[in-house]
Amino acid sequence: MFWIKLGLVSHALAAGALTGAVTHFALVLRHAARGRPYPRLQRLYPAVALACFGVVYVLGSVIYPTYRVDVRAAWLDDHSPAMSVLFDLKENLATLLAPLLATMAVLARTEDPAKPSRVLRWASLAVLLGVWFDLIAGLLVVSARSV
Amino acid sequence: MSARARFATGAGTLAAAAVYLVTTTTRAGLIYYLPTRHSWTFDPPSGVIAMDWFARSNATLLAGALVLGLAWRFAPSNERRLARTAGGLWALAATLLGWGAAYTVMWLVSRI
Repeated sequence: MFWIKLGLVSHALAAGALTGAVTHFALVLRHAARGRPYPRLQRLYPAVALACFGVVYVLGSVIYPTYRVDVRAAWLDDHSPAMSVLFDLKENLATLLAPLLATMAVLARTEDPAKPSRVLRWASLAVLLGVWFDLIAGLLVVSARSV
Repeated sequence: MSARARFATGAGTLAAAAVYLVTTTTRAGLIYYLPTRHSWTFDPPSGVIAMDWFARSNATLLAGALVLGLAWRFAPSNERRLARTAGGLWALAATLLGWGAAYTVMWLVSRI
């Protein structure tokens, strides 16, 4: 159980770092669109976000079976079905965010930092909203019951 | 370079969204993990906890990465054609992503 708890805490820390990276990226992209680019940061944040997503994904995959049996089946489905659904929603939306995160990382390295494309701005906004939703959903589920 | 990147990421995102949508709506070809038995099966027995997320999620990520790499490698050389195709791919990819997200919300909320 200690390793599962450690995995959950590390999963949460990596998710926090991911949220910070995508939020900072959205902010520097906004500056770039207004004519004040930060080329180094515009390349750094998406790479950090993608690395954090990898850590979050792997750790989440490791603790997921324990959650499914000891938390969802044993308690959430009966006592708090809305939280059970919220968790599944967060997991599935995270899967859909992955290609957009990869897009951010690729386009940030190949585009002119002073002229971010519409695709890059759209992807970063979608990722920003999705990651914040997932972070808040994860905190709500853990506050109800955790591994 | 930039148009090629938009083309490749558009194709990768489109492939990932399509695989997600197909595997979520049809459950076709998914392998399930049985956490209480620590085993995998294509045909989960009833009354046993079965998880399809691993297969669905990994298939989505794998399809996206594979198609992104192939599209980058075999992208058309004509810059104007590349930019036009990239725009079309991204419009389709965004539609499928939105559809996948909306379907997921409706499917899961109906469980409450």
